Parts: sequence; C-alpha cells; structure tokens
Amino acid sequence: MREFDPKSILEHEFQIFGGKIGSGKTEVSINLAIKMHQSGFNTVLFDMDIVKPYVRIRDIKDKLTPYGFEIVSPPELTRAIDLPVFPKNVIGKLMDKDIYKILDVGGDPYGAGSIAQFREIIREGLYNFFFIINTRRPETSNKVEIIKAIKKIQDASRMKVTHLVLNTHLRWETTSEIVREGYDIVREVSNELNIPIAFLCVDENHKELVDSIDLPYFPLKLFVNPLPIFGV
Amino acid sequence: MGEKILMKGAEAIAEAAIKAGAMAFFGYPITPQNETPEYFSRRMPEVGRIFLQAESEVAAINMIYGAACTGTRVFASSSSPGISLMQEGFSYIANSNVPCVVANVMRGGPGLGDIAPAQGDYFQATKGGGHGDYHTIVIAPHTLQEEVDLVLKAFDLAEKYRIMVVLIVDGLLGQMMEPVEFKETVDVTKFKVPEWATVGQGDREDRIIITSLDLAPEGLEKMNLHLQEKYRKIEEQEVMVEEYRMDDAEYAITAFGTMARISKTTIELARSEGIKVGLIRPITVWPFPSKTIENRANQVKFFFDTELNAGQMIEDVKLALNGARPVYFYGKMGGIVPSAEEVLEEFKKHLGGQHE
Repeated sequence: MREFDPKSILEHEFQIFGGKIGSGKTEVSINLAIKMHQSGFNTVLFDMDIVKPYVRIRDIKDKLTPYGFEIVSPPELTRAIDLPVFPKNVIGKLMDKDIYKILDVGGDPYGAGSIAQFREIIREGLYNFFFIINTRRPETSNKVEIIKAIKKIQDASRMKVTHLVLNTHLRWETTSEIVREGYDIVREVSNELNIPIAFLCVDENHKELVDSIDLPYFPLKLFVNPLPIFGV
Repeated sequence: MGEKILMKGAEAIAEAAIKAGAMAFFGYPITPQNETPEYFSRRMPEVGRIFLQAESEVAAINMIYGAACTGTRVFASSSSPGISLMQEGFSYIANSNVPCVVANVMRGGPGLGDIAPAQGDYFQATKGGGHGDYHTIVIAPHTLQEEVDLVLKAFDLAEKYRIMVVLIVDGLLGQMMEPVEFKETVDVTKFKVPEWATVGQGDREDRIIITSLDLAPEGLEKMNLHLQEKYRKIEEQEVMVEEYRMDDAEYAITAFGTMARISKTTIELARSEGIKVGLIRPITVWPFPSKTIENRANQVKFFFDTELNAGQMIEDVKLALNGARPVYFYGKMGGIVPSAEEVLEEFKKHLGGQHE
C-alpha cells in the first residue's frame, strides 16, 4: 500500500485523461493538477471536454481557483452551454514547454476524437495517456468490453493509451469487494494489452476500501459531487 | 438481476424502459436528455427492438401515437422545448386512449431557455399542455433508483388505464450518476396483443378504429365523459406520495424531484437547530396527493413550498388546503439550484422569530 507519486509520470509533459463517459476523468484530472501544483510543479489543467453538458471544469472553476493552479478553459460564455468549443489560446498553451499539461478530454470516441487535431503537438513520447475504467459502468464491465472501448478511443484520438487507471466505485455504496472485483478485471486487460495500471482511485475519506490491493492508490477529493441523499 | 451499476440518470431511464419491455423508442436529440436516445440507439439493436431518431419531436410523438395503437410498449424522451412541440400529440393520444410512456428531462425555460436543471414544466405536465380536457399521469422521482423503479411502474399504469404516463425529472436527475439496480426484467415474449389494438382486422367482423375525433357533439361529449370517469378512478387509486419526518412535524415543506431531495437535507439542518419540520413529497404530481396535504393541515403551523420555478405546484398545495393554513414559497428560475442552506434560510424567514 503506497500512495501514487506523480513524480513517477513526470518524464512526459502531457498527462491525458480519456475513457468512457462517466468513468471519472474530470475528477481525476482535477486531483492530479492539485497534487502536482502542491508538489511544486508548474501545472496547467486543460478543460477539453466537448461532450458532457454539466459539471465540466469550467462549471466548477470557482471551487478550483483557491488551489492556485492555472486552468485553461473555454470562454466564460460557454459555461452552462453545450457547445463543442476549445479554449481560444489552447494551441499556444499546449506548445509551452515550461509547463506540465493535464488534459481532461471528453468521454467516448467522440470526445477523444476531438484531440486528434493536436497530435502534431502532443507527439508520441511526450505524453502519458491514461484510460480510466469504472467496471461498474455500462460498456466497461468486463475485459472484452474494455478492450473494445480502448481500441475505439485510440482510433479516434490517434494516440496510444499508455496507462490504465482503476476507478471502480458505486459512490456511497462502494465496498472493498467491488474495488477488488474491478481490480481483477482491469488486471486481465493490463496483462492482455501489456499496458500497466498506473494507480487506483479512492475517495480520500475511505482509503480503507483499497487496503488489500497491491497498486499505488490515489486519494481523491471529490469536486464533481452532486446532491446528498437522505432517507432513501 | 441484482448487481448494482453506476449510471447517469438519462442512461438509467433508457435501460429501465428496455428492461420494462419497451419495444420501440422514438425521439430527437436535445440536452440534457441526449444520453437517453444515445443509449437506446446502442441497446435497441442489441435486443432486436426499434430505435428511430425522428426528424423532429412532432414526428416522434406521432410515431409513438401510431405504435401505441398496436398495443405494444413504446417510449419517447425529450426535454422541455421538445416536449412543448409534442403537445398536440399528447392531446390526440389522450382522447385515443392508447398507452405510452414519455420522459421529460426538464431544462430552464421559457422559450429555448438554457440547458440547466429546472422544474418549470409542472403546469404543462399536470394541467394538460395540449388542448382539451385531458390528463396524463405524471410521475416525479427524486433519486435514480426511484427513477428506474418508476419507469417500470409507468408502463403498468399506462396499460392499466390506456393512458400516457409522463416521467418528469430535471436536468440534474438526468445528468447525475448514482448506483442503480434493475430489479425486474419483463419477459416480452409473454406480451399479448390487447383486444383494442389495431393490428389488422383478422377474422373480426368490424374494423377497430382508434381516433380522437367525433364530429357529433353528443359523441364527443361521451368520449369526454369516459375520460373524466377514468381520471376520477386514477385520482382515487393511483396517488403516490412520500411523507418524510412528518410524524412530529410542526411545519411542512412541499417539494418534488430534486427540490424534495434538497429539502431532505434542509430538514436535517433545521432539526439540528430544534425546528420540527417534515416533507410531503408528491411522487405522482398528477394525480396530486391532495388528501395527504389536507390531512396535515391541523398538525402544522404553515406549509413551505419550494420548486425550481416561479411557483407552480404551490397552486395544487393551496387548492388542497383551501385556505386552512398559510403556504409560503421559495423558488429559483433559469436553471439555478439552491443549496439546502439557502432553502433553510428562506424557510426561517416565516418563523416569526420563534427560533432565532
């Protein structure tokens, strides 16, 4: 049991988060930005999500500002609008060699396809591409489905997935058995595709859920957190 | 079934309809319900059923009308402006007495409005957004599990009464993710064609005609009386309501959907300050749980209604109370969702210093 150390991925300047809709890309990229910024690395978080209409980085910017890292996001006008817009200064920022760039990419091949246009900048050897998996989501519940999803995202983005991230959870109903079951599935994928599992995610208030799993864990502070639940 | 999975509300609606045996989906994309047609577009071919993206919501609702006439389970979804386009079809379907289920993932209005969560379609849904004297059964879940369970129930009600059932959720319940369990899968091979369905004359002597038209006033009056009789029966038998912490309540909040959920947190906050408040949450907003509200009139000092609109359900609360108790209101429009703390602050303004 050791905590995930972002230093282990810093040989590359781009950290890209892709995966199916609802796999946890936004939450993980925000947390990585916080962690890297707090560790003293010059970090910029890019809101490249052109898919989901709610709770994108631009919609919760107020909550993130206090952490002090830079956010590159589409213009204020696009807050609460579902227009497929990239930040206006995105190319210049992506070309800036002095910063670590974390990209929160939209879900599914449609979202991933939109970053293919930057492949001359985000070249092989310069990036880590993390494919986030929650095995309790539709279409990524077993090895066959996950491999299919990875291939589709690679084809659409014209980039290669370099790491898997285990993010199996059921919100407040997550148990260590559920995480373990996700680990077993993702390990099979990892073996078959020969892609390493970079880390597993866990709610920072429930680290005990991942006690028994031999992977670096990444404790997440939850930002994309909707309504509480009472009496049901 | 059994295993829980994490779903977005709009996906969960689609899977619930598939598990309930929806044989055809007709719809058109609009945020924040796009995940519903998208999910159907993938799953319906997998299960050998029909997904069709119509050329507009007007077309979609008329396809639903046609398909519903065959007595099969049919489903459509849209969001506020799209549901407005469908209203003519709603009215035709009502007077044709055919069953179907439609989901409205509500967004901010009026007009094109925005894509943020809202509950401004309450009047449209419960008072008949189309023309003529009609109702649809309107169901308003407040969690994704309830959403899933009620989609199944909606099909049963639709068939029992040969009526359209409308599921209203705001964009937040459409977009948020929660664990859900699909408790039941309907065996569609056991479906029987109902005797009223228009599936060909066969060896019948007369053709079956489904229509919303009767040019003779006496005939149309008869159709109307039939509808009204059906609605009275539904009002008597199908009201669904949750009372939350009402046993010792001195005040009652009334709210549905997302605002009911936020109100539950408000109630916890208020009770931690010693204010005894409970919630009456209509699950069917039509038929409305008027009796439940009336029954609490003598117990509580006032009612506090909160909605994501300018005050719509509050009219039904007031009608139920018939002046017996004051009813105060707090609402937000434009897609803004207040916090539990804001609701509490507004609620406390009516306490008259008793709990300062």
